[in-house]
Amino acid sequence: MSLTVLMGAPALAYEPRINYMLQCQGCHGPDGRGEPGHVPSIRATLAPLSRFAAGRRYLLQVPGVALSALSDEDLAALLNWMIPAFGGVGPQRFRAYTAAEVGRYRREPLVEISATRARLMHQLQLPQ
Amino acid sequence: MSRFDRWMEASSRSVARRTSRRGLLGSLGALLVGVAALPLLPVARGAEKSAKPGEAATDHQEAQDPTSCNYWRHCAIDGFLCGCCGGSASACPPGTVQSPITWVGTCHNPADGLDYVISYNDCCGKSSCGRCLCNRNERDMPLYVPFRSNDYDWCTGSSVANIPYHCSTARVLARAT
Repeated sequence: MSLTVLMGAPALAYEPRINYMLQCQGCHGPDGRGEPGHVPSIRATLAPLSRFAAGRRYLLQVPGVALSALSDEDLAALLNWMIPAFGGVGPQRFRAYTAAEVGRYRREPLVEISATRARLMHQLQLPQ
Repeated sequence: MSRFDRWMEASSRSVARRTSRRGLLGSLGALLVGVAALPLLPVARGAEKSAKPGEAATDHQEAQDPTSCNYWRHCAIDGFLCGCCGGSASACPPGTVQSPITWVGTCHNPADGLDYVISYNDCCGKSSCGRCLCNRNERDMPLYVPFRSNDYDWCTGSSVANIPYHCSTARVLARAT
C-alpha cells in the first residue's frame, strides 16, 4: 500500500469499542439496554433502522450522534461496529455507513426528536 | 576468696555443665532465620496492603493513594470521593446505589504511562458524604455538552438510583486504545 493511500485514510482516534464507551455507554449502558423511562435501548432498534433511508438518517441525527465530537470517519466506524454488536446481525445483514453519508445527515438538525422516533417505531412495529 | 567469687564460680560451672557451645550457636541461628522469615508469613503480607474491601490491590494503587484527590483515576471527578465515605475508588458505600447513568472519560496512569477509560458513577440514596471533596476537570466540557460534563448530578437520571447524591467512584473500564 502506498504512502498516499495510507495518508488518505484518516487514522481513528480510538477503536470503535472504546469510542462507544466514551461517547455512548454513559447513558446507553455497557450492553446498550439504556435506562427504562429515561434512555432508550438500542438493541432492538439499531439494525432495523439502518435498513431504510429515513431510519438511517434518524440514527445520524439523534443528538448524541449529531453533536458528538467524533469525526465523520470515526462516527461511521462506530455505527458500523455498534449495529452488529448490539443488533445481533452479521456484517452482511446491514449496509455499512460511509463517512460521506454520516457527514451529510449529521449536519441537518432533527427538530422533533420524540415525534420522529415515534413515527419510525410505529413504521417498524417496535415498542416506543 | 570472697563469698561472691565462690558463688560466681559455682554458677558458671553449673551453666557450663548444662549447656554447650553448639547449642548456643544453634539457638542464635534459629533466631536469626526466624526474624528474617517473619515478613514472608501471610499475616505480615496482609498488613502491608492498603486496598479497600472488594478491590484488588495493584501496582498503581500502591503507588498512589486512592483516597487522594490527586490519584490518577480522579483526573475528571467532581464530588466526594467514595473511598473516604465507606466505599472505595470503584465501589459504592453500603446503603447507597450506583447510578447506571454516568459520564465516561479517560485518565493517564503515570505508573505505566498508558491512558485508561474511566467511568465516573455517582453513588446515590444517602445524604452527601461531605468528606474528600475533589473537583478536577481534565477534558470536562460545559453543561451544554451534557455527555461530556462532570457538573451534572447523575443520581437524578435513573429509576433505580434515586436522589440524593452521596459520593462518586472512578471505575476503570478498559485501556484507551
